[in-house]
Amino acid sequence: MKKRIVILFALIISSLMVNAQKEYRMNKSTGHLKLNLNGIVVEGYDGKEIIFSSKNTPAEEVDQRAKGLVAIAGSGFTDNTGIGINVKENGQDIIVNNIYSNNSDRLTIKVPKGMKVSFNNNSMQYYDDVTIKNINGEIEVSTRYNKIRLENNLGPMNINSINGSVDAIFTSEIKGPISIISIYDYVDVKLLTTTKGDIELATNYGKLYAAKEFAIAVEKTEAEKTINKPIATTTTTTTTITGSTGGTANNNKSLGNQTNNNLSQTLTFGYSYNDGEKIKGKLNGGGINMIFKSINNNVYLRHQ
Amino acid sequence: MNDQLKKFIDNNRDDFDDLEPSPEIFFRVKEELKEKNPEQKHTVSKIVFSQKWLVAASVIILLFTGYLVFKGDENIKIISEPQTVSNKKPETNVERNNQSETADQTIDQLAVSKKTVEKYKAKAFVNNEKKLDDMSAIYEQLTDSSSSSKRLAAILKIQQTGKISYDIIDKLAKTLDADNNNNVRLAALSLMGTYSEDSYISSKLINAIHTQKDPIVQLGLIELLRKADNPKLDDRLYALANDPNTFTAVKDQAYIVLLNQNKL
Repeated sequence: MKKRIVILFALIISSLMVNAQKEYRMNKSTGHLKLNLNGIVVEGYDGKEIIFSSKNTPAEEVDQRAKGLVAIAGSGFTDNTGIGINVKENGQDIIVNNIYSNNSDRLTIKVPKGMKVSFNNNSMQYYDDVTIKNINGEIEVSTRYNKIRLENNLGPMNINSINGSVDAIFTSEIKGPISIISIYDYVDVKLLTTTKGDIELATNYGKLYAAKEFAIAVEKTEAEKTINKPIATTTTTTTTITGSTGGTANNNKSLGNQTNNNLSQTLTFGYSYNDGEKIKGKLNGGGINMIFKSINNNVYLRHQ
Repeated sequence: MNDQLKKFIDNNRDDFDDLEPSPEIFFRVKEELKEKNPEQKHTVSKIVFSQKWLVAASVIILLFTGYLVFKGDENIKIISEPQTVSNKKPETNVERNNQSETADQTIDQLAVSKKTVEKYKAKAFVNNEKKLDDMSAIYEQLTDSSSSSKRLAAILKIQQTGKISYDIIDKLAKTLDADNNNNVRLAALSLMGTYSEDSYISSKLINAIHTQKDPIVQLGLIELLRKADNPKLDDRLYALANDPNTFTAVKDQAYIVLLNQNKL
C-alpha cells in the first residue's frame, strides 16, 4: 500500500514537471515587437526583458529516426526558442514567427511597457484570440478572423480586423491617434468620461450606441451626399445629436446625450443606397483623435 | 246695369286718377337709383382691375418659390473647419485641368445642381505655392515609415486644416496605394472620399479600385464609388465579382452594387 502511494506521488510530481511552463527570455526593453502568430496574449510589465512563455508544451517524443537531423518547416523558419516559434532580431525590430502554421500553442508574452507591439494574422484557418494589456507604446493589430481584446493601453493604436470583433478598455488618459476598425463585427470601446478628444463614430449597416454620460459636440459639416441634412443643436452642457443619414433611414431625434439612430433598412435584394451613420464631434473640448468604425456591425461607446 | 257702369268707368278713367305721390317720394327713388348704378359700375371695373394684379402676384410668387428652391443650403454653419479655400470661379479649374471635358462637367454640375458649400470646396482649389511650406512638414510625417500612427496623425491634420490641393490629393492617393497599414489607408480613402465629386479625384479612385488588392480597401472603394455610376467602375465590379481570388465579402459587395443598378 505504502509503495503504491509513493509511486503515485512520484508520478504526480513528474507529471507536474512536464506541464511546467517553458520560457524563452530576451534581453531587450525598447524597439518594435512584430508578431506573426495565430493568437497571442501580450502583457506589458515593468521589466527589462521580453519573456515568451508557452502553456501547452507538446510532449517531446524524441524521434529516434530524426537523430542528427533538423526539423524544417515549409514556413522556412526554424525553432530557435524551444517553444515552437522563431524569434529574429533585426535592428530595432524583433520578429516572431510560427514554425508550423497550425501551431495552437497559447503563448503569453511579457513585454516591457514602453515597447511598440504589432500583430498580424491573415490566416483563414488558424486564428486565435488576441489580447494586449498594459502597453504604453504604439500598437498595431491587423487580423482577418481573430477577436481582439485591448485593456488598459495608452495608445496610439491602429487596430483593424475583417471578421473579428474589437473590445477596447481604456482606463487612463490616452494618447492619440486611435483608430479601431472592424469590417464585419462590432467595436466596443470603454472610455473615461473625462477623455478629451475629437471622436468619430461611423458604421455603414449597423448602429451607433453611446453612453448617456458622453456629451459629444457634433461638428456641423456640409451634408455629405445625404438626403436628410444633419440635424444637431448644441447647448453648453448637453447635445442632441442625430447623425446624417441617407436613403430610407428613420431619423430619431433624441433630446439628451444618447445617440440612437435607427436605420430602417432591410438587407434584402436591392436595398436602397445607405450612407450609414457617421458622427464626428468633440468630447470635452477636443484633443486626441479617435476613430471607431464598424462597417457592417455596431459601435458601442461605454463610459468608465 | 254692369254695362252702364263699365261704360261710365271707361269714359271717366282720368277722373279716377286723382291721387299722386308727393314729389319727395320721386326724389328719394331717384337717389336710390343713382346709388345702385354707380355700384354696378364699380364692381365691373374692380373685376378688370384685380385680374391683372392676380396675374402679377402669381408670377411674383412663382419667382420667389423658385429662388427659395434653388438657393441651396447656405444656412449650415461650419463650427470647426475654417474656410481657407477661396470660392474661385470654376474657370480656374480649366487652367489646371488638361482635359476640357472635365471642366465642362464641373461647370455643368455647378449650373444644374444645388450649390452646397461642399461642392465649392471640391471645385475651388487653393493656390499651390503659398501653402507648400506649411504642408512639407505634414508630407514628411505622412511618409514616416517607422510609425503608422504618425502617418495617421498626418492625414488627420490635413483633414482638420481643411486645405486641399491636387498635390495633397496625389500624396493621399500614394498613401492609399502603398501604405502598409489598413487604418492609414482607410483614413486616406475617407479623406479623398469627401471630395469625390471632383473629376480628378474620382478618376484617381477608379484607378485605385483597379490596382488595389487588399479587401478592406476594396470594400471602402466600392462603397465610395457605387454612387458614381461610372461605366469603368462597372467593368471593374464585374471583374471583381467573377474573379475567384477576390475576397468573398468584396465579391458580395460587387454583386450588390451591380444588382442595385440592374446591371446583372
